[in-house]
Amino acid sequence: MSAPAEIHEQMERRSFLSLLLGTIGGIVGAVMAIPLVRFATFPLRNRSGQASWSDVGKVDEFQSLNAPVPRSIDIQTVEGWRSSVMQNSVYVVPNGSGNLKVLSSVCPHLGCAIRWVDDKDRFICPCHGGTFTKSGERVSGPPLRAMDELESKVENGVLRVRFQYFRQLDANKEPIS
Amino acid sequence: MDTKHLPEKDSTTPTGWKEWLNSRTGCYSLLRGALDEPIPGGARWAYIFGSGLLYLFLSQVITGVFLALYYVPSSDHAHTTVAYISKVVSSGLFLRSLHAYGATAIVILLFLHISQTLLYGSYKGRREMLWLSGCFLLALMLGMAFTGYLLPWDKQAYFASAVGTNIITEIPVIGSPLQELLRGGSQMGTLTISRFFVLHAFVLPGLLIAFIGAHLFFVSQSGPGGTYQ
Repeated sequence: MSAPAEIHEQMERRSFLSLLLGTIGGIVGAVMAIPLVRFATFPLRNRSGQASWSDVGKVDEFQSLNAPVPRSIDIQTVEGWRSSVMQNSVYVVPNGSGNLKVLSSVCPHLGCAIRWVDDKDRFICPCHGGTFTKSGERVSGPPLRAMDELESKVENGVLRVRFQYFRQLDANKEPIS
Repeated sequence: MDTKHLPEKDSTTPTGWKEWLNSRTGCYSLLRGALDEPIPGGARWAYIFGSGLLYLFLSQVITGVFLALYYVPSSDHAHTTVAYISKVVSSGLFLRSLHAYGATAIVILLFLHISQTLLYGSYKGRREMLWLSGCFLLALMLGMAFTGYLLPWDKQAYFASAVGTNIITEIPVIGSPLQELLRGGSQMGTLTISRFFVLHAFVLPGLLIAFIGAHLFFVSQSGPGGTYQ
C-alpha cells in the first residue's frame, strides 16, 4: 500500500470518530438541557393559586365617608416554598348612595403606590405624576387607564376585598393570574 | 496560479467563520493542538480520568448554579428549600441527585487519576508542577465535598459537619479559634451554613477554576508523560 492511501484511511476514521463524538455530545447536551430548562422555568408554569379574600374593616367605619381612606390589608400568599402574609394598601372610596368601592393603590402605569392628596382632591402617583379623581378616574399623566377597582363584598357587616394585580401599561384592566 | 507556497488545505485548516475567529483569537489552533497531540504508545483507557474529572466538574458547576435558584443558606430555610427542590420543582430531584452523585463520582475519579499518575510515574521531572497543582486541586475538591455535605441541613449533614469541625480542634494552638471561625461561633448554627455556602459556592469554585486552568496549562507545557514501564 502506498503512503498517501494510508493517510487517507486514517483521516476517514478520525473524522468518523469526531462526528460520533459530536453526535453523542449533542444528544447528551440536549438531554441535560431539558431538565435544566424545566427546573429554571418552574415558577412560570406553576403560578400561585387563586387570589384570596381579605378583610378591609367594618362597614360602619366607612358609612360617613366623603373622601377616600387608605386601609392596609393582609393577603395570604404562597411564593415557591414560602407561604406568608403580605401587606398591601387599598383605598375605600364612597361610591354615592352609601355604596363603597375598593381601589388598588398599585398604579396602572408602572406599579408605584398611588397616594390620596386631600389638598388637591386627587389621587397622585409620586413616581411619574399620574393623577386620578376621587373615584379613581384618570385625569392626567402617563397612566393609560383608571385606577383598578377590586372585587369587594360585605359579609356579616365586614367589608372584604379580593386583591389582584393587573397588567401594567395596558389601556384595559387585565388580571395577572 | 502558483499554489506551491500556499499552505496545503486539509481538514485541520479552519475555513469560513472558524477561520475568522481563529485568526483573531487562535482558539481553533489551540483546540486542535490539544486534541491532535500525538500520544506515545497510543491512546489508553488509563488516560481518561483527567478529562472525566473536567467534565464532571463542569456538570457540578452547571447543576450547582441551577440548584442555587431555589436554595437558601439559612438554618430556617435550608432544609425546606432542599425539600422543595426535591419534591416540588420539575426535574429538581434529578438535578439534585446529579449534583450529589457527581460529587461522589469526582472523589472516586480523583483517586483513580492520582493512582494512575503514581503507578505510571508520570509526576516526575518536567511534570512536577503538574503534580503539585494536582495536590492543591485534591485539597480544594475535598473541601467542596466537605462544605457541600452540610448544605441540606438534615441530621446526617449536621452531625457529619459537627464531627468534621470538632476534629479541627485537635490542631495545636490554632485549633479552637479555627473551629469557631469556620462555624461562625462555638456551636453549629445558621452562621455555619452561611460560611459553608460561601466557601462551597464562591471561594472554593473560584480557586478550583484557577488551579484547573494552571493544571491544564502545565499539561500543555510538559507534554505527554509516556507509557507504563
